[in-house]
Amino acid sequence: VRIVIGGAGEVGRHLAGMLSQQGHDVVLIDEHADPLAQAEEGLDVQVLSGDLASRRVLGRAGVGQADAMIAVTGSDDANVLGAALARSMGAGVAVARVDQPTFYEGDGPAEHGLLGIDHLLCSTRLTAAEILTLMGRSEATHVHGFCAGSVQIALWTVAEDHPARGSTPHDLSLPRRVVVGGVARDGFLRPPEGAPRLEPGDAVLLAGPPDGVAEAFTRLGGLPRGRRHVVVGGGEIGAILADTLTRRGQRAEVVEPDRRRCEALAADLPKVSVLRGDPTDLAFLRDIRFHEADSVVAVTHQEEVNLLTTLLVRQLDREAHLAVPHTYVSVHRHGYADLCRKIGIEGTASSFEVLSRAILEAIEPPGVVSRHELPGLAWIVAHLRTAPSLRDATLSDVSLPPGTTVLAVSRREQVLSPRPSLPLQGSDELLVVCPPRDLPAVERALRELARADR
Amino acid sequence: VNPRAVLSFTGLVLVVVAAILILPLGVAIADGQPRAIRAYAATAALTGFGAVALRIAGRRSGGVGLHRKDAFGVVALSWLLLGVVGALPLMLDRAVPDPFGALFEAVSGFTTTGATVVADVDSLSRATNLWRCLMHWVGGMGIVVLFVAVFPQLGVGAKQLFKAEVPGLPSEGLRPRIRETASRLWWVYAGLTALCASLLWLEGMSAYDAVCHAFSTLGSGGFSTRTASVGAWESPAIHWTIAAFMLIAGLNFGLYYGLLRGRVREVLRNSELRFYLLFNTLLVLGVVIAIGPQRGLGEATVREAVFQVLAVTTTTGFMTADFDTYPDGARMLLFLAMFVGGCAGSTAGGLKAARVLLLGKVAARELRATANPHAVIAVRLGHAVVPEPVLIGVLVFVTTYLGLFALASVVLVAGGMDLVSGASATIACLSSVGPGLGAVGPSGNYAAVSAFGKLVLCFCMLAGRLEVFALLAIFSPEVWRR
Repeated sequence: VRIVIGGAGEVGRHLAGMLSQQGHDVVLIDEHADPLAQAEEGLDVQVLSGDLASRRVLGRAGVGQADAMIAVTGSDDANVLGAALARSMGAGVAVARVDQPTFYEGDGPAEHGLLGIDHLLCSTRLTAAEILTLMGRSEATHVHGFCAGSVQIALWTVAEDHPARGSTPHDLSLPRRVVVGGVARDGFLRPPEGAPRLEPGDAVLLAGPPDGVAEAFTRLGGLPRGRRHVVVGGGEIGAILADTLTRRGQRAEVVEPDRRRCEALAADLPKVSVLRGDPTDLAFLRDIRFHEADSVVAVTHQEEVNLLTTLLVRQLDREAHLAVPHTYVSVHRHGYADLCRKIGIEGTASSFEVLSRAILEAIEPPGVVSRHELPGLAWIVAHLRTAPSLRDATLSDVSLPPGTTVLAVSRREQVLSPRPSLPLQGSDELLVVCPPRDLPAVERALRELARADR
Repeated sequence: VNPRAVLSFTGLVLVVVAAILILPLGVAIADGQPRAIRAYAATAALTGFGAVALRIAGRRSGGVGLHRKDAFGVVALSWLLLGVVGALPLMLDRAVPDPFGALFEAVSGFTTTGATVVADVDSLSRATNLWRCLMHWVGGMGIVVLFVAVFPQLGVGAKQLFKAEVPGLPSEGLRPRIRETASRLWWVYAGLTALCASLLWLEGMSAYDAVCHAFSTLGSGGFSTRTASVGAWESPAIHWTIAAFMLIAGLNFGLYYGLLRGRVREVLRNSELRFYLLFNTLLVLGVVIAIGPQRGLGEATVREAVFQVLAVTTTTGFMTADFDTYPDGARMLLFLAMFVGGCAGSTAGGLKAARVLLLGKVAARELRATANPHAVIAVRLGHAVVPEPVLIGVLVFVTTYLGLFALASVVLVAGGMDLVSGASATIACLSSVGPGLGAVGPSGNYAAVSAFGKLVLCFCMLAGRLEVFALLAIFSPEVWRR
């Protein structure tokens, strides 16, 4: 398979290495000679010097025959232009990295369909979604995100004295678009239809958009409202986190040293408290009662500041004999994530890793995109993609093996509830929970659906 | 400043005034009063002559658009000339023979103040009474705005003129072209005036009185055709109608334009509107509580309270009762309400509700900042964030306004007025309310104020109407520097 990558930066080189190891033919384009020379040295890829937004350069890279075009230079404009050009020249799938937040303003997500580009991915949004998923882990038994963070699954364990005890999963008051995927008991996942009455210790599998899942946890009593979260760093990631947390009924404070950025944040996010100060200054942190927060999320652009603040909060808590809040950090460079995990930070989101993973998933052919094991269960949640040619089919046309359940259908970042009459389209993303041995049968069912259609 | 351009544009403004003078002239001719005919014909002719003279003096101004400084010059010069032109027929018609009194009456007219030096309004000619109310109407929306709406060839200069005259905070234009904005505002204004006049006529006023009172109400002026003001009519319907239209005149005219375009929810969510309505409701409540024990709680008491409160907060200054006879609590409330005035973008004067609201929000922010010194807090009006320079502008405006009040009232009191009359006269003129308390209260008038005091109050009225800085600008050497 031929893959063209525009931009030989850290992400571009990392992807080129991975894809070439998987046996693909990779062409790497960059304007600058230095990163290309580095890539040439260590990777078995073809390098090409030139402008990504030039038809001639793309033609020389052979995008017309390429199965995928990945545009990950540092410039949004070049990425969008390069990906759109490649698509018009015949590339199979086009993915562009777009970090400018204004691309995502408004109601409809712009990830799909703009200028024929299949996926527009934003590393800050992906990182924020990853951190929110990680934060969910402190409340739920298990949380995982799929489809670039647009769908979440979670396991909610019924507590000893929970009022839902004795009722069926259908009686739970869940937000719209959140579905029950099954009830896990004794290592066995029962499908929601005909599921038994809930007993303490049962784990209910929930799936839906992240906001919906968070709301479900709030309603089920797992997640108290009004907890105090301090977000260190008022960049794009910090802004998304603070905004999402306040929308979910939580209190968010953003710490940012830059005056003008603070004013912009205060203007954009009316419900968020914006605090101006240096997050590495102990006196300032004491002043804002930093260590009394329920959670601390460090997402500045500087790795050392993120690490330092999470260490300082522990120092302050030790002085005050308080419990340490949950700590989460974002890291930007490859390989730093492990370091953070080692020093005991609860959640680490590497913008580099989440972006790479999202890009690799985006260029996967139809079929199984990824699979995720549910802890303590012999069941997996699989992320599958329908063939681009699929049309005139509904969800009930998929002949799934017994015991498998569709959790969600994601289309253009919108999560659709899996009712049987839901019309399926090309390149829809399906989340299916099934025993691992049934996965090939599920994949076959989807493939046959596309073929029967033709 | 380009003096030729200023003279030339001011000449054009005078052309508009000369045209407006034809209306009272027509009434004078219809009534067959030779003195009034002579007065208005002579003024119209003199104004036309003045306009031609200014155009000639200002010829070869280069024909280029107006600079920002020139716009201030045109507005300030126009308003000074308006006072003279307005005073002329009042003197010639023997309505106010004293030149200072006549100037005061005319400035009070054009600035929509409604403070009068005429003790017996009933004895004035119909032409003069129409002229007094017409000055309110023209001054309310702004003579220069009218001029912008009428003359298409102004170009960018029109925007500068508009900004210099229209009261209130900087806001987004209603239309892409300033001429369209100006003409739509005038259409809305004229339409509301026609509606008010026809309602009053249906409720039993004579057509002449209805038109005069509609002019006076929509301009938030306060001149009436009767000495007893609106109190001369004892119809509750007329009182309620005028009260309603005073409120309409005290709200932002941009809102009506929004309503016409169907943006009802957006208009109802306007935070200045909400604040202003709440403020008025509380004042009415306060006045009802104060006067209730004497008069009993009936429709008449509520109507009286609503009318008096709206007359003060919309800075119109009509009355159906003498609020100076109210208990001190109510008098104090009304005195303080004079400072606030109406909404930005209305024909009312005062500090404006939006500024007072912002002032409160800035104070609340300071309070929060003392508790949490690191917090960065944005001040909002509705959903929109108010930029820091605008907040500073509001603070400076309020400070200057209060400074002007302090200075002028000290001058008046030192000149022999008593404390209550002097202070209330100053704010009643500065906020264009009209009647104050004490000697200048609803039962009195401004005739007894000394000539010097009248000039000081004229300055206050102009400063209040032009939002202080447009007038003060002409005293700044910066503006005159080339």
